[in-house]
Amino acid sequence: MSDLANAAEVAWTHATIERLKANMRLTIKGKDEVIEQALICLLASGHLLIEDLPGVGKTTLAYALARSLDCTFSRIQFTSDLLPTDVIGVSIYDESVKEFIFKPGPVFANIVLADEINRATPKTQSALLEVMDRSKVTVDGAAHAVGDPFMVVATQNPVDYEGTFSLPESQLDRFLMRLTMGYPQRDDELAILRSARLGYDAIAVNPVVTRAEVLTMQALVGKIFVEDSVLDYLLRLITATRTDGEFKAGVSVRGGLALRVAAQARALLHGRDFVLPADIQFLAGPILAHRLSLARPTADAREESRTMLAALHRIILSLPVPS
Amino acid sequence: MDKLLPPLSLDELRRLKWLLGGALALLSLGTVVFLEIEALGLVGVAASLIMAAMLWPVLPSRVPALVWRGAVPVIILILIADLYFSPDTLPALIRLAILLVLYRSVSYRRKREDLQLILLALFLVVVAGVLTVALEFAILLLVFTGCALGFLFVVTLIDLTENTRQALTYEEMSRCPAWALGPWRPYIDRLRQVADWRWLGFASGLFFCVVIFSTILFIIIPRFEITAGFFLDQYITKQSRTGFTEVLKFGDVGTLIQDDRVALRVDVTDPAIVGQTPYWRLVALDEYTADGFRVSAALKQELLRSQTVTQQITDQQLGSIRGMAAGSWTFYLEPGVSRFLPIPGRYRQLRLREPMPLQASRRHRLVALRTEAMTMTAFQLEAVELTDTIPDPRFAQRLRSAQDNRTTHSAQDRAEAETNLRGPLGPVDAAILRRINTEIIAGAVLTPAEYAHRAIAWLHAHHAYALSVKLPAGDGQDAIVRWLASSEPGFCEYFAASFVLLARAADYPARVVAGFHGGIWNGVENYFMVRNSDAHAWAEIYDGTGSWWRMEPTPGLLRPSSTIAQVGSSFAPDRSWRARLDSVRVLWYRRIVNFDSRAQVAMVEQVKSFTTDLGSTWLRQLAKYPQRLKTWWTQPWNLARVRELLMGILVPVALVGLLLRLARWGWLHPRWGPADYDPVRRTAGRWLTQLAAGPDDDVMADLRRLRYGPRETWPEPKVVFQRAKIARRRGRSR
Repeated sequence: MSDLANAAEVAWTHATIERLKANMRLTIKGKDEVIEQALICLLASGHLLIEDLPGVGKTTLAYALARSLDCTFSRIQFTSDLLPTDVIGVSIYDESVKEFIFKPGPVFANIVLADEINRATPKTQSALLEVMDRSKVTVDGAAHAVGDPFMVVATQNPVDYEGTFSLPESQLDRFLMRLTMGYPQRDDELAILRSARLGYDAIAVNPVVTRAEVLTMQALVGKIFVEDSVLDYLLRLITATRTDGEFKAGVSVRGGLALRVAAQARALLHGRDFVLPADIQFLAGPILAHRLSLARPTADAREESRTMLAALHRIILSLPVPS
Repeated sequence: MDKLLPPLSLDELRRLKWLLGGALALLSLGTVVFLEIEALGLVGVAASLIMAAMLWPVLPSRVPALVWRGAVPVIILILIADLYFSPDTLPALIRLAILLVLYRSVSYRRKREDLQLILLALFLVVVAGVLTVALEFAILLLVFTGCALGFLFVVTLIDLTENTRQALTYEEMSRCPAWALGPWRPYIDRLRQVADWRWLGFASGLFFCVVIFSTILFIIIPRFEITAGFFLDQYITKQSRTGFTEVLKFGDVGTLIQDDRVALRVDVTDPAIVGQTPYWRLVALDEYTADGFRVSAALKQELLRSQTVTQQITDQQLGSIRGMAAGSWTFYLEPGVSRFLPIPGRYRQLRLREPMPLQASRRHRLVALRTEAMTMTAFQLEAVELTDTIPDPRFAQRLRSAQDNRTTHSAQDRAEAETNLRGPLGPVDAAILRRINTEIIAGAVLTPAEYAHRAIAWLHAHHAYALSVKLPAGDGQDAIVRWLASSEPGFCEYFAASFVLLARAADYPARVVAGFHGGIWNGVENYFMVRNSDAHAWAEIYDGTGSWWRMEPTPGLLRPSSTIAQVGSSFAPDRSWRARLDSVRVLWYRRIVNFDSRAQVAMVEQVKSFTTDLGSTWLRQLAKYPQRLKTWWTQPWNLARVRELLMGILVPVALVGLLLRLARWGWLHPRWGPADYDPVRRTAGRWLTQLAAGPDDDVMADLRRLRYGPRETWPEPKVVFQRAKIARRRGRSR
């Protein structure tokens, strides 16, 4: 029994998440689905890549999430002249103690917002590889643990390619999810327009969940039950991406694992202690799309994303759901 | 619909169809092998071509369209040439069918061509079946049925989606289809993945239904003889094995003894035979030649004169004999053994399966077919009694006429007597025989029986039994006499022939008889199994007054398979795996090949009497219970009886409760079936699909938990399913 979540824990998590959701809704209007996906990413201890046009609320979402948690938060604005040491920190010689002392960079926080990540050089982008994978930074042979929980929320603009370096596949694979914000509904946008707020500092969000609570919830995700036929369904989905002619390469094993963990997190978010095939269907797009590449390249990133999601949707429709 | 189709793609189904079609063609060619017509080379070539095409389905596309276009005219030309050169029509037709099967199975096919292939293969199978009636054919037919069912199923599945009515053009025949490309290993892995126990179960269920249905049809349809309608014997001749013919050369029986195949099976209704060692008398060899004994021309003439097409003969001579066993013995004589039928003793009637040209000499107790049968010969003897004498009073007269040298009797009569008295003519041989006879008779006047005993004793004293014989050299001398004069060991043929020569030299009419001796009782299916190795030769001596007496000059009879049967009281039936295997063949003969209208009526009567007996027994038993209960109830009551009553009620109730609990436990913790089989999850899944359109309430949540949730957190499944039932009803009424 110990390896399964008990009902009380699940109910408590559900309540906590609902609290968090309500808090974020105060800032992010009419984007419940995006909020839910961001929270799934948080519960699944993954990193989030938000990809959309400028000014649709990518950074606001990251802010809202970070500030709703009682965690440390830092923001790195990625530019073409940003250096790896600007991200992870640097060892400097301290005359008083006569030795090198590590000065931690902005990555040493619980939530790190990597704004416009594709504007930095590949070298700087790669500085994030280790920390995103192992929550550790190695400088001069010494490993330094970053915050726990640790979550990178990166944003990028899919249209404006001028002076950008697109993320390599190895980097993309380390993001659990890729989200798009999309424009808000008319009423929601009207409400945004009415509000007097301007600038991120005006975001008045109080933390509603402590760091320890986040860690407890993250630990609970692994205890969510996945029935064999559901796992089989997941596997069939992954295998189908590998044999489908539309893709250049299928989803990696890490991709499959990511989908499982995310599905567990979604089940927990909905107050269930077991995964449904619907969880997998819901998450297949955000989790798998950025890990696949199309056999026939498209004109721009948005078109590619659309084709990819359509292909995934077709695969999901063709697979029989366990019944 | 998705769920009904196997999860194979159309191309994968086409590949499966290609494989099954090839297998069908190969199986049908396999049946031709049993026919022994001149087509073995053709079958070999065709089979290898079909196998190559099966393994490399791209091969047919390498053949130019011109070849496909010309194939049919060429086949027609071959048929015409075949009909012109070959004396028989049927083998030519079979060769044509082989060519057509080859053509159809190595070219790409659509539905129309697939059906043609099945028809052609079926033609070959049916022809082979009718001609051979062999057990191997039955097994092949079963496999063929399964294969054809699978093939038709796949053809139908493809037709559901493809649905083309057009025939393939020759150009299409030499165009490689997409399914033919690609390696086998991944495909086989895919088949293995897809192979589902439900499909396999369904397929085998269908197969058994077809087999059972055919069996019922076989049992109830009126009997008719197909073979009688065909004149096939003249078309197809089976190469005869070494068997008994009219001539017995020295060493023939010795060769047969080495052969371990079953020659004869005898189904005996009277189990008294078990433990005895009958002499299965095939042929009497009355004429002596330098090479050995043979059936004399006179006897052959007599047999030929008696030939009639009949189904049964009655031995009138034996009609008056009383106290004979009432049962009937059924004989199954393997093809190639002999045209003579084995007769173990006196009988009232001999009946064949169907009318046949039959030759019979009642005086010599010989029955023979006109020619050696190509298939198994079955016949029945009614009221058999094992005897060692054959009454022949007429021979006494003939003997006297020969001795008196009077002219009142015909030359033919005299010749018969002389044939049975003639031995080697050489002076040296005669002198040796005379010398030995002087030793045997020692001046006394002996009856034939006394002489026989003394002669056998002399033979036993001078010769031992051995399966190999070293004949001493000698010019111009008779082989048997040379052996007789030596001290070499020998086997039955030598002892029998020596005895006959000695007896004839002493003026006692005698003859050699060949057949089988003994056999083994098959304990699995209860029948007598006589092998070629039980082949035997013995002698018959005329008693001078009216009967031929069987004499056994061979010492010990130490032949391997008969040793058990010889022991008599400590007789042990054979239950070895070979006997088991052989009994399958007898079942085939008994129940299928020999199932005629008499057997049909007998079976119906058996079923009728069995059911009526069973019904009346049950009714009698049932009628007893109320009476018993009443008497038990009216007896005076005491504590013990109350306890008895309580136990009688409580124990069954407890047992039923326990069984129910066990069943429930088994339902919740399935231990059988595939690893992912779980009845609760399955039922919950079904309910989820049924209620999918309904409201998303507690019932759905519980059903989801039963279907996908951890077992430890399950709500009571029965309750949830009941609530689901109510929810469905509500949904309907809404």
